[in-house]
Amino acid sequence: MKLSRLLTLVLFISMCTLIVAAPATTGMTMGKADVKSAGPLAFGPDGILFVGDSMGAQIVAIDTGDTKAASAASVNVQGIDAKIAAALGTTADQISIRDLATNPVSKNVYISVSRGKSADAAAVILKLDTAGKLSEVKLDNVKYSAAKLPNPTASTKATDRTDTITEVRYVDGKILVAGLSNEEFSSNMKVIAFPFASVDKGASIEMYHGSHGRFETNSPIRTFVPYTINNQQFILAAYTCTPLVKIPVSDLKGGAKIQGTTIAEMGAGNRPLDMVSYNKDGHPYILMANSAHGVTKVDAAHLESYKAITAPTDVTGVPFKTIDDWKNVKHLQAYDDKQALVLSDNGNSGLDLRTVALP
Amino acid sequence: MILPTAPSRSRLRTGASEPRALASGLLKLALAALLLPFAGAAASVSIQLDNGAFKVVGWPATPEPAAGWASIFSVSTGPDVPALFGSYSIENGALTFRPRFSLAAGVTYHAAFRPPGIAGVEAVFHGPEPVAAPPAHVVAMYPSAAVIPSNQLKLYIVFSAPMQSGDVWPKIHLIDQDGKPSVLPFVELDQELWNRDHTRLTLLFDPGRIKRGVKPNVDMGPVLEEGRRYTLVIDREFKDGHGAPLEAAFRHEFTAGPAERRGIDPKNWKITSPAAATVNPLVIDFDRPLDYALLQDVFHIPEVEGVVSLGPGETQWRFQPAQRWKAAEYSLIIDMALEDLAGNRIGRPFDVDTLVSPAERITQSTISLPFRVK
Repeated sequence: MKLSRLLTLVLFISMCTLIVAAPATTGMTMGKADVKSAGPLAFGPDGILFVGDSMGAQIVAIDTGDTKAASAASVNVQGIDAKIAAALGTTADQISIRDLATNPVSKNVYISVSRGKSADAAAVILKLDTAGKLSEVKLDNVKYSAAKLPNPTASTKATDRTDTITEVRYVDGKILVAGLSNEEFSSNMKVIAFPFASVDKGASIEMYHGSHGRFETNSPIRTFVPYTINNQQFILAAYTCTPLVKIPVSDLKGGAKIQGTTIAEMGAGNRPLDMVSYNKDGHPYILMANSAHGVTKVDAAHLESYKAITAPTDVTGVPFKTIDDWKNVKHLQAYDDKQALVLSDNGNSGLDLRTVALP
Repeated sequence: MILPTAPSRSRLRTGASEPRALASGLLKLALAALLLPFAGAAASVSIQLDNGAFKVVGWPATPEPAAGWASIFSVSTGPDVPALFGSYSIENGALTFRPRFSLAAGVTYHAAFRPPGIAGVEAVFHGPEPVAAPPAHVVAMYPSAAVIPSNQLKLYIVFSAPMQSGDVWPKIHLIDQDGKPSVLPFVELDQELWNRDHTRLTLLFDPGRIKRGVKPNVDMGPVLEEGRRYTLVIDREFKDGHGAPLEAAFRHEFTAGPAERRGIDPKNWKITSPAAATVNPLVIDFDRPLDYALLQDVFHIPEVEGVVSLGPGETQWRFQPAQRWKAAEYSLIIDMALEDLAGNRIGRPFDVDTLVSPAERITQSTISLPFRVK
C-alpha cells in the first residue's frame, strides 16, 4: 500500500472515530442553567438529563455526571410528595410532581417538581438515589446546554401565549418534543439534533390525525414512546384525543406533515398519561397509564402487520387489556428489564413512588 | 427524631437571645417564643431566626464534623420527613443554616442543634403570615357571545389576579339546562394551560368529542348539543396565588348554536380603512366570531405601532395607530395560526372531510391583506 493511501486511510479512520466518538457533552458549558419550569424529563447517553421547560420555551440538557452502573435495585417511598415538600420547606399541597425519569445506568430516579403553585413557582429537580436519599440536582453551577424552542407565532408580542411541553424523549441523537399551545389547537412536534448546535432551534413537524380514512385534523400529540419494529425506529404516540398511532422516526424531519397510523382506539373520556415499552418472556408489550382507564397493557407483537383502523367500531386494532390491580397511577416510567417505576395516589391524600414488577 | 419526647423544662427566653418576630426584609416571620432546651443545655446557647437564616447563637463553632454540619444542626417541618435543603456556613462566629427556599406561610419549622459532648437545644418557628390581598374574581369568559358553535373548541377564563395552578379540574363544571353536569367536557391536562402570569386559563373541549367519526364522539356524543343552554361554573374554592378563595363563584350562561365547519376566508371580512392624516382606527368586521386570544396578536401592520381592541362578541378587530396614518397602500399581515371558535383556520377547516373537499394542508405561515388609506 502506498504511503499516501495509508495516510488517507488513517485520516479516514480518524475522522470516523471523531464522528462516532463525539461526546454527549459537546457544546456544553459550566454555569447556571436557567430553568424556569421543570417539566418532562428524559435520559440520553452518558448521564445527560433532558428537561422540558415550558415557561422558558427550551429543552435543557444537563450533565448529571451520574454514570456509575448500579446492580439490581428497587424503589419504595411512601408519601413521597410529603417528603419532597418537607425537604423544600413547604407542605405537600404546595408542590407538584411534574415527571420522573430513571437513569438507565445508575438506577437513580430523577424527579421534576414545581415548588409552589403560583406563577413564580420554583423549578426543582431532585435525585432519589438507590439508598432512598433525596437530594437536589443543583442547577446554579452545572455543565449544560439548552435549545430554545421556535417562537410559536410570527408575532413577537405574544406575552400570554405559552406552549406546554407534554413529552420529551431522546431517540437516536434527536430530542423529540410534544406540546400543546394555550391558544391554537394545531401544534407542532419539534425535533432537535443533540448535541445541540449553537443556533439550532429545532425543526417543526405538523402532526395530523386521520380519522378512519376520512376526516383529518392537525392534532397535538400528548405522549409517546420510542419503539423498534423490524429494526426500524418508530414512536408510538397518543393524540390528545386518545387514539394510539405509530410514526416512523425517519419521517420526523423539519417541515414534514405527518399523519400517524391509528393502531388502537383507547376509548372515550380518557387521556393517555405515560407509556413504557418492554419485553417479557420474549414478547413485546406497551404499558400505558391512562387518566380514566387505569393501566392498559398493549400487545406490541407484529405491530407492522396492523392496518390503520378505518372505522370507530373496527376491532382489528392492537389487542390490549386493563391491568386491574394497578390503581390511581399518575406517572409511569421505565425502570429496568423487570420493573416499572410508578407514582400513584395512595388513597390517603398522598403519593407513593415504587417499582412494580412488569405485568 | 428531632423533637425531644419529653423536654425536662421549657421556658420563655428573654433578652438578646429571645426569638422574635422579624419584620425586616422580605420575610416577616412570626417566631414562636418557645425554646425547648434539652436537659442540661447551656442556657446561653440558642437558635435564632435572622432574616430567613437559622443561627446557633452562643456556641463557639468547632471545625465541621466529619458527617457534616447537618449531623448536628438541622431544620425540618416535622418528624419522619427529610430535613430542609439548604447550606451551612459560619457567619460572625455563628453556625448558620440558610434554607434553599424562603419559609412558607402556614408551615411550622423545627430547628434542632445537637453538638457532640453537650446537650442540644431545639426551637420552633412559624413561617410568615399569609399575604393579605383583595379576593380575586373571574373577569370574563371568552368567547363572550351568548350563542357559540356546538363544536366550540376552547374557552378562556380571565381572572382579576394571578391564580394557583394545580387541582383546577374539580372546581370547573359545565352544567346543562336541566342542571345535569357534563361528564369530562374538557381535556383535564395535569399541565394546565395558563398564560405566563396565571391570570388566564384555557379550557380545551375534548377534541375527541368534537372530531366527527372518532370513537369518543361516537360513544359519548358531542359535549355541546345545538339548541341547548349551558352554564360554565367556577367554584368559589378556586384558589388565587396566595391560596385564598375567589370573591364569589362564577357562572356564565350560553347557548350552543349550529356547528361551524367552514375554513376562515378573509374575503368575507369587511375592512374599513381610516382617512389619511387621522388617528382613526382601522376596523375589520368578521363574518363570524374569531378566537379571543389569537386576535390579540395575529394581525400585524409593518412599521405601524398601535393598540388593538376587540368589538362585541369578538367579531370585530380595531387598530388604533400611535401616529397619524399616511396616504398609502398598507399591508395587514395575518398569522395563519388564527382560528375561529371551532378551530377552523384560514383555508382549512378544523376537521377536513377529505372525501368531500380534500383541502391542502397549510404551508404558509402568514398571508397579506392590502388596504389603502386615502
